[in-house]
Amino acid sequence: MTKRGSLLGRKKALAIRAAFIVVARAITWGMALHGQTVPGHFSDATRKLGVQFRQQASPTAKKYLLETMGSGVALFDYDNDGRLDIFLANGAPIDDPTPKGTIPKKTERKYWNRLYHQKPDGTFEDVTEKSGLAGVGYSTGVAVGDYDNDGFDDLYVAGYGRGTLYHNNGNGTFSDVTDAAGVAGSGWMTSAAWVDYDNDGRLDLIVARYMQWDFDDIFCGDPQKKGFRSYCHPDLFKPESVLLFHNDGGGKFSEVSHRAGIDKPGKGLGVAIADYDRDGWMDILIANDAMQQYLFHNRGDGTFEEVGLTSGAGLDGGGNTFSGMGVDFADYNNDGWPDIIITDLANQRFALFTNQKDGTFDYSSSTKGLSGISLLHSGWGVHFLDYDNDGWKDLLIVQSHVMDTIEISAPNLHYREPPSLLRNDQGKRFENVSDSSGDVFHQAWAARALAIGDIDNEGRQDAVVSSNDGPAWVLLNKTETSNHWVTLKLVGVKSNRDAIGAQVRLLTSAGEQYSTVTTTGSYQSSSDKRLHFGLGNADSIREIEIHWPSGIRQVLTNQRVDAILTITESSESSSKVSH
Amino acid sequence: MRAAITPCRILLLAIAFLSARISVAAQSSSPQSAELLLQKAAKEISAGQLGPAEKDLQSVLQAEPGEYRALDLLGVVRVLQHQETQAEDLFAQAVRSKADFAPAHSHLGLLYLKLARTEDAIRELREALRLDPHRTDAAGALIHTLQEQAQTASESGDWDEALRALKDARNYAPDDPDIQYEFGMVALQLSLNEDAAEAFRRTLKVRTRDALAVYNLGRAFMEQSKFEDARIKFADYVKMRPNDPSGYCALGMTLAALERSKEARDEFERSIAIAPAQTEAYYRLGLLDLESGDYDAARQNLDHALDREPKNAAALTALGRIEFEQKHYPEAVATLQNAVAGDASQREAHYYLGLTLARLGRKQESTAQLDIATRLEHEQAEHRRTILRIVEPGAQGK
Repeated sequence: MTKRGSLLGRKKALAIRAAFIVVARAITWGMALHGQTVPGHFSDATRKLGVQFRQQASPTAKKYLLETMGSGVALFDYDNDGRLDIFLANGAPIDDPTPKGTIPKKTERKYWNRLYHQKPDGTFEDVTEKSGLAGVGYSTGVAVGDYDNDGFDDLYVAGYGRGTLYHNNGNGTFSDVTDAAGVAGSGWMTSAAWVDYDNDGRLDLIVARYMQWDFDDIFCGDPQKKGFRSYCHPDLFKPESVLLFHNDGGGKFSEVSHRAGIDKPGKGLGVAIADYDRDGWMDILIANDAMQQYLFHNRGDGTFEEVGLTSGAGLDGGGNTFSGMGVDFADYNNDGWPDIIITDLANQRFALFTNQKDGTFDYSSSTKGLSGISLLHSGWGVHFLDYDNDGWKDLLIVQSHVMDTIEISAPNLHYREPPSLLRNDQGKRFENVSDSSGDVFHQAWAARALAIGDIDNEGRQDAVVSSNDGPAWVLLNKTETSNHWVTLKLVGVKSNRDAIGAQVRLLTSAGEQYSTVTTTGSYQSSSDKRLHFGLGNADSIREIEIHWPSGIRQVLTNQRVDAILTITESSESSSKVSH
Repeated sequence: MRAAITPCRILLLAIAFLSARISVAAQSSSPQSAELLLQKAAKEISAGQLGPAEKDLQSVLQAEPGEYRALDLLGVVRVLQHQETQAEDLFAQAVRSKADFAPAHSHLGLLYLKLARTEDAIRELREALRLDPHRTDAAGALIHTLQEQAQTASESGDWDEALRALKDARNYAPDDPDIQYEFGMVALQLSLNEDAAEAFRRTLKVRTRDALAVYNLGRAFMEQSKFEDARIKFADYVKMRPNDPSGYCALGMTLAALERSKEARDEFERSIAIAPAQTEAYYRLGLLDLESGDYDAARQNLDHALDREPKNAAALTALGRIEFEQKHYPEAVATLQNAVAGDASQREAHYYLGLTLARLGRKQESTAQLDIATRLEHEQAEHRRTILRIVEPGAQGK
């Protein structure tokens, strides 16, 4: 009797303790998060840092669609000096008119893709020529990944007609290994992503393609009105399939799109990856323009099933298609399940899909405040980032209408638009804090690509934006906050070296957060692979739990904050962490 | 559509017109007996004195059997005597005698209208107007005929034919506000929203206070997602017709589209205050509540709508969405199935039914519903593609 009573008493005590922990967490979160809204402060440091770039779109009177879609940007540390470098893709000359079947080629230096190396003092130097990354054709998307696990990040540059794989030689130079690797692709390639879809320890490559398009002289717009020629609607063109290249090792890839069941024709502009059903296999989301969005569920046997419609992530809340452009796939409400944000055109409303933890998504744009915010905006690059380190992933979106003549037909819309910064209020709602977040949010740009990363390693996520037929901007996050943070650089051993696909749960006194290692997302861009966590007022990390693509689960406890931690894959939970 | 004009009435007007023309000719040239007789006959016809007129015309024809004006006027006499066969023959003789004599073509066209030979009539009236673009008798009759063709086509659902006829009519009367308005309405039906907006704008150029044109211009803007422009038009409309509940409802819809939910709610409530028995404003209020996640309020408003109109497919769809959002999947299926049964073209109902069935693990049924939703979406996309081709001539391969 006594024994039984004692057991019950212990259970009760445990339950009370657990309840107190829950309450304590809630209170701590409340303290961290119910404070005043911290406006962002992003400062344009482009000129000061020595980045002088202009994307050459080559606009023509024929309004070839290619010339309004922009080129991508990548933030990565190509020389492993601990500082992020910047790669900016560029266009190529387009004749006016251009004969059908033409594949544009870069002819002058102004069309070169550019690599800017970050020096120890934080400024950048143009190392394009030395690096061998000037490029050949009309470059579009960029994807960073260490495909040969040699410790140096490689670069895939998608393009119109041909993509290029650059192997990082580890000495500041890159070699074009496209033909040997077999990843040239074809057609109009846009965003690309590195992901180890079969968990074999080698990064595979996905390349989205826009549509079956050529330099036909198709008149779109209003022939009766001067200046009303416009870019043609995607409805006029047939869709094109995604390309999936399996990394066979030894620098060779096999195109397996059909075999993997991922060759469903779409109009892909954005790519993002995440394990949305937490089954251990990375899934792929393709943002399609003016048609259903595709969510390729990874079956774990080398094949995919497209579940966009049935999962609820294919259409908007009214069951309508929209012009999917940029995309990110991350857990905005800290429930451990990746959610989806897709940007689109004005009058369509950016699409936020909240993971329902059962393989399905709910369209949440209205209930989370995004509909009202995004109604009159056209978004391209988009990324979840915790600008104020409060522990909730906010949204940075770069914007511009696709039509440079939109003001003529729709005076309330604009071709050039400022970016938007949306603060995440504890996963409940997004609040537009752009107006109070610095001058850059008042400057109208024809922005396209966006990559994020902590450029100055100060513990705040910065951004690089590139525009269509215009400059690029380096935006340093100078948000004033005393919130803590941690950045994790994961190094795969059994898993791919970049740890792409590794899923991290981080526990502090403020609660849990989840992130997946990836360089992809946004629009035609590649972001810092390091995981950044804002920690609010939590001054220590209780636990970091990593699920590596290899299947290894690694747990680290009691880690310091306000630091960049390098964690190497290990089955030992007490493995070494370098700072 | 404008008031009916009978061919006979037009014919009489034509005679008066012709009489005046002959008078002028008679005064301006040296007086000759034939001219004077023709003038006299025209006046007699206008006065209904058909016997004396015939006598005068016969004397002209005796002297000059091919005198086309006399043949034409005698044809008019025969029309008024209900001797249509002879009239047709006389007009035809006049045309043979002088092929570029517009009045004869016009009168022949009017006769054909009387005989319900519409295509022949249109041909002759067009010819009359080609020869003399200022002929009001031919223009009036032709426009009226084309409008009637458009109306018949509209009634049978042949909107393309209606649009063609009105486009044709518009060429003859570009400033006619009625034709512009009718063209706008048909263009709206065909989702040619820019064309519709332009037509309503032209209507309003002539009739600045035409409330219906203002309302439908608002609709055209809504269809083009020009929500702010639409809001302005509907706001104008409610000022013109403050007692019309549909104006407030439309204004509320534009405000909802502009994500100005509170103002939208106010407008829907105004609409309900004027017409408490309606369904639309309750439905729209329900949608606002649904979008904001207030499912109880949404249910209450949708129930109001469904009390009045139990088979309202849109309201049922919204109610099904609430069940879906609240994860009451069996209830969602039942409600959405009712919506689909009420209106099989409710794409959103098929979509949510598909989503719900997927969540219940009923994969095959889910796929079937999502396929329908996709097909309906494709049809709309195809429709958009067609519109792109219509609005932008030469869009392909130019």
